[in-house]
Amino acid sequence: MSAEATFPVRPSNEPLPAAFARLLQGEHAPLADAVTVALEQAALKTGSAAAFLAVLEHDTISDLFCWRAGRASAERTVPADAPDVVDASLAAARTCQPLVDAGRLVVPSLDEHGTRLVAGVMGRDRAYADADLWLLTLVVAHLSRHPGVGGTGATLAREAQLLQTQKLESIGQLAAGIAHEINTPIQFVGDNLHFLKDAYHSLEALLMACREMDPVAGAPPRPSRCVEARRKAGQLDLDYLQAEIPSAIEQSLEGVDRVAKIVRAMKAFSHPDTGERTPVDINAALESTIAVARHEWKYVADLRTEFARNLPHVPCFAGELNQALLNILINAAQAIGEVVGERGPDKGLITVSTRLDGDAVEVRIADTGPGIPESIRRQVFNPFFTTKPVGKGTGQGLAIAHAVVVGKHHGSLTFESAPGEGTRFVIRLPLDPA
Amino acid sequence: MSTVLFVDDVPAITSALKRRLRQEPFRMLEARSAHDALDVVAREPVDVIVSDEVMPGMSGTELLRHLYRTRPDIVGIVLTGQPSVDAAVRAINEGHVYRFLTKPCDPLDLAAAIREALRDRDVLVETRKRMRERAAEVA
Repeated sequence: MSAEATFPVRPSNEPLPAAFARLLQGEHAPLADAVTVALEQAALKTGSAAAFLAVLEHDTISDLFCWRAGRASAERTVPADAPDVVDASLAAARTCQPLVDAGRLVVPSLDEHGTRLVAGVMGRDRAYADADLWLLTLVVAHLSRHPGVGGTGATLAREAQLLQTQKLESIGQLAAGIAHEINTPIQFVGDNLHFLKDAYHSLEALLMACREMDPVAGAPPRPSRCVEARRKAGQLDLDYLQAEIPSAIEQSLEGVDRVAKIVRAMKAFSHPDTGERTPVDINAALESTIAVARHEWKYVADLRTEFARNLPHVPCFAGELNQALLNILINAAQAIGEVVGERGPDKGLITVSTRLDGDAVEVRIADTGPGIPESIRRQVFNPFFTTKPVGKGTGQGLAIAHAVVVGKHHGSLTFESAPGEGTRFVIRLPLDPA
Repeated sequence: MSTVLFVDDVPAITSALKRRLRQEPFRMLEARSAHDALDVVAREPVDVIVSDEVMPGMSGTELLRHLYRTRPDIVGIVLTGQPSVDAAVRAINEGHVYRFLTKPCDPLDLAAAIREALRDRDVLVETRKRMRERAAEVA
């Protein structure tokens, strides 16, 4: 049986336990040494037989250290007597709550970017108490500041990596949709061209017959040839060809235009990250994002754009901004998908609008989805937080969007939501981000 | 003359197929959605349905699964631009499709599949009837 515990608040005037002096001094020690010291202290102080530390990358465990009584160092192995260490660590990380059960105490470390580390102790004959929770919280907080796991440089590198991974994921997700968007016009353009080829062959026979009627300029048409030309014309369904050829050409041109538009949008969307801000036309960025994600929204929603004209360009990291806009747009489509699936063939509506508001450009992406319940509003931008079933969302889309808009562009990302009516995300990008 | 119903939410697909296959010996009808297709089936004789898979509202597989129960005399073919193993497995197991084809598809291959479907239709319908009777006996 497991129970959720609340974080104890450390009284501010209480001195640090002496044992941690050594830990803090060892801040520049290699990660494995720091972990060994920390886990050893955690185990000894709480009277546990073993302690472990899980390092999280996204929502999986990338590294796991285990220290046991009698060992000189922490080993990077899953303890055989506690095969559910991994599950317990992930559970604690996902709920952002410590986990206390019969023989085990597991504490996640939190920072403004989400859970990074999970520490745990186990193998004690009496239940863990608040004092143990407090101690372990201190240990994991200390370790999360270690440059090897939680230092500023590592944090930035990890964020960049997270963004890259998520970008690849979303490109993977989009790829199937884009393939469909391209395969559809390829299908009908190909069919129409075959039809036009056949139609031309038929018409060519008629054309030849017509030319035979008057082989020499100025000479009168030969009656026998005229009969032949009429016979050829009679074999063709000229009314049908006259009606269908122009529309086959028209549809094919539209199809080719659509493919070109998708390819252009992909190129614009996958803007190479130069590491520098470049002036971005926000309306154009939205256009290409909407186009590459078309397959994600078109079955569940109509999309309306209300773009302000003559918006000033905003200094942006274009690639990352597109990613943030994409995440919010896909979120809107998925929100509508939740209710459209129940309602049947009626589509929802996504409205994307832009305007100049003082010294910032404001983008609003509104959906007619189910709205965000009051109870989870504070968690919406938390990494790993998702309401979607396993495999449908990793809970990182909006967290990334938040990191990009707020962290990278010094803008703001907020939302207004009415249950049953929908949600509107508001992105503000300052014209002068300095 | 047999009748084939093309179902696709992109009208350019169905009209181009009709042009391309205009010399085939079957009548061709179009529907823009699975719901439209059900309306057509309710008022016209239809022998074969060639349906897109991903469409707003009801998917091609859902349409064919529904028809398998209510109209076992219609043979289904899926023509999808978004093929996946998962989609194929569902189309075969739930939609009881006769062929699973992918876009872009050569219309001559599609025409061959339709002709084969029309050729095998009587046997398929008879088999479905027997399977149904056997299922009823077991139950």
